[in-house]
Amino acid sequence: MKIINKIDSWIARIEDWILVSLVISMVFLAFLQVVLRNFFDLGIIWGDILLRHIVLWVGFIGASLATKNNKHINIDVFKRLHKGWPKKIINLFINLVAAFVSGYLAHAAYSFVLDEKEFESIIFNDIPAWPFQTIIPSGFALMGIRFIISGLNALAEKEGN
Amino acid sequence: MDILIIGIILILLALYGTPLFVIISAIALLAFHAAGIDSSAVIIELYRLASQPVLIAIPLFTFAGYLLAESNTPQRLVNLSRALFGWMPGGLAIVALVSCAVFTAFTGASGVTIIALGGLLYPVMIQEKYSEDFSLGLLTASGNLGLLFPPSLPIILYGLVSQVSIDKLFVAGVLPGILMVALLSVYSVNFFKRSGNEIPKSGILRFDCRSIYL
Repeated sequence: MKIINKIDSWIARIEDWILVSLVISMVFLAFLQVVLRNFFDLGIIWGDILLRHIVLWVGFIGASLATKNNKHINIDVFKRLHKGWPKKIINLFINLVAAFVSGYLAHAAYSFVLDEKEFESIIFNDIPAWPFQTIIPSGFALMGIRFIISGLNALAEKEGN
Repeated sequence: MDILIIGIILILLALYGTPLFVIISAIALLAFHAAGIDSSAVIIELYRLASQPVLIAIPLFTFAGYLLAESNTPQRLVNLSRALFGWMPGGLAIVALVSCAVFTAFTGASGVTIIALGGLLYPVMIQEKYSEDFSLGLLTASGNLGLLFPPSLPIILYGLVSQVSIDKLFVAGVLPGILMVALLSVYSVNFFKRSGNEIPKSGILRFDCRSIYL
């Protein structure tokens, strides 16, 4: 379990870096577009399309990190009523349900990307769309794995926490 | 009957703390499955919605909000509104209302207001002898005030999903937003007068122009 958690935090660190660089490039590219459009009547044609895909990536990496830190929006009225082992079982069960749904979504997204690759969808000129969309299945898969890890961590958690 | 059971299970799961996106995805997947449509259609829809051009506003505004929150903007905003409204009875309450509304609007209502301003205003309000209940209530209520002013993200999201013109939604939000600020201010002044507090001297603050660039 310790090794898994260690690998998990390494992945999280890489994700942090990707996230920061994506957000920074997003801010610069968006600002550049604004300046070009308003003062020079110009604009990078593929800029907006690229920005939209960066948003997609930021969203999925952020969601995956939120899974690691248990920061997804949820309601905890009933969970407060329980303590000790019932709470652990509930936590495990909920995380497994979440992992199952994420896994299912990852599978659906995988077939979506395969379809897009087969149909050779493009986002601009001759640039294929599917490499940009790979974040959808991989994001969901990562979330699924992380839900399982948090479920196991909840089970291993010491009393009183 | 099946639908009822599934619904109850999902509601129970939601109330026991399952992330809400999981519940919503599960409903979508089940519904698509029941209609006999392949589950990748859910992803097609997701991709279509997620690559809308307006969505970039959300990460950018959130980023702007955190930048503002980390750079002492809340402090300066409070100083400015204290200089403007500090002399009134219940002035601090109005200061809280106005700075929260402005800050929420600036950050696109991305939810950083309470973090950035709540921690700053709450101790000051307690110090000036507002009751704990009143301060907490006022601050949580005013954290949502700017929600109706542009460029609020919830309105953008609502417009995106429900296909309503976002411009019109913003125009529609201005008057109710002002009405809410005005009503809450009137209530705060009344509350202050009835509680018999005196206007504290510290409430009146001269605004230092250096705050603009410092």
